[in-house]
Amino acid sequence: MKKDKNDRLQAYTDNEMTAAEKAAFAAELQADADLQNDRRLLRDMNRILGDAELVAFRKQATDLVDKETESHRAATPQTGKIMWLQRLTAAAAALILCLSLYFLLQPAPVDYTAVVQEYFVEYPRPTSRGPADRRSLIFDLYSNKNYAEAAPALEKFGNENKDSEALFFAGTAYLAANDAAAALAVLQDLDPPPTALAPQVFYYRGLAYLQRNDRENAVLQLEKVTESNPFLYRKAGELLQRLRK
Amino acid sequence: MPKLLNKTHTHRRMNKYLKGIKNSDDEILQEIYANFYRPLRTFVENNRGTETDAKDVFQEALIAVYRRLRKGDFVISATFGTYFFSVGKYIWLKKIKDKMRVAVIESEADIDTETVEEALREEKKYELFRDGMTRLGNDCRRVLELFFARVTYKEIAARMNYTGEEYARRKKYLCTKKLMSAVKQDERFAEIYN
Repeated sequence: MKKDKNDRLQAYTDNEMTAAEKAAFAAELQADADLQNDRRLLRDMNRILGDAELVAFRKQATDLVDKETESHRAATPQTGKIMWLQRLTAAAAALILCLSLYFLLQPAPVDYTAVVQEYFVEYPRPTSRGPADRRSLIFDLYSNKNYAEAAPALEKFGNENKDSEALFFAGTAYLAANDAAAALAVLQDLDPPPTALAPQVFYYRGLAYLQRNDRENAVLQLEKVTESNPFLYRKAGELLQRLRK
Repeated sequence: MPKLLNKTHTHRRMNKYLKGIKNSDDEILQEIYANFYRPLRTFVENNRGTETDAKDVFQEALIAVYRRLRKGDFVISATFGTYFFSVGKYIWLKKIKDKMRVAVIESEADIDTETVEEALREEKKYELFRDGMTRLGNDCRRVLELFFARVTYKEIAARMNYTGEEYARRKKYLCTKKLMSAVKQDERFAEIYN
């Protein structure tokens, strides 16, 4: 019995044909655009689903994220339906009570965005060390408060030249441009920060956390600002007092 | 002179992470999650995404780096954190662009965008095939899983309790045909293959 086209395609792709069958099918393939598309699909399926290493890595990545998410949710385990309803009722009652107390007792909520703006100090750019080179041109963007352009340019320059000062300024520029995530990514990479920049790095990391409403980590960073930079030390102290109220 | 990064420390950290990904080292992957998931999640959530989107982006960024590492050595001019964040940021911006059909500013970070794009195309195909497999019957799915795991027809016949090697081959042909058909009926097929 003659095999159908798809069977022959599979036999060809799986290398299960004789030389004569192969040659005949190759000619058929050459003349049939649909068959060529099916061949492409079949080869992709074999390559992608047959890549055991990658399939295993994908599973590992999925398990990792699921496991970490689970561990964060461990504090609120799921139980039976009745228990769930009891908890819902209790939670609703607690919510009403909390809301009442909130409106009665809660002081005005802290607007961290405003706090960050208030405590953001435009850190003075380094003094020029020579003629207008690429570095100083990039720093000009920062001085002109063109933070959106200055930040990626400083980051790129810093990474290319292993220039931690440029990276530090990239972090502060991202912060000024309201991209706290990028600011943190850059400032966290300065770990451990160069001694001369350490108080500054901790101060701006603190502000970046605060911009993300992460008060806890903001406090941890601000506590590391040392007296070696008296101005930022004083500012960090003030801010810490305010955050601890 | 600009202050130099602690080169040894930075390189050691970078190598540790890259080696960990390449070797699928659980402990290192957990460390990467602990250090680099949160900034990525904030970025995604601040840019029209949800926590689930952020998880997907994190996984896809890991897979993109893993795929790149399998191709051989490569040089990252940024630190690992910056590089990984840039990969994730690029993936998310690309997804927004594709899904919402809006213009977004592309990441200018120093990443091999072609490799990331290729990884994304491959992952889309993988998801299409994986979902196609779930639409097959148990028998078919099992036979194809064994086939893709390079198990011989003889062994497939033994494990599936079939009459012989030839029957296992026929079954595999039939199931592959069903899978191809299921994949072609999926609305994503035209988008990926046209």
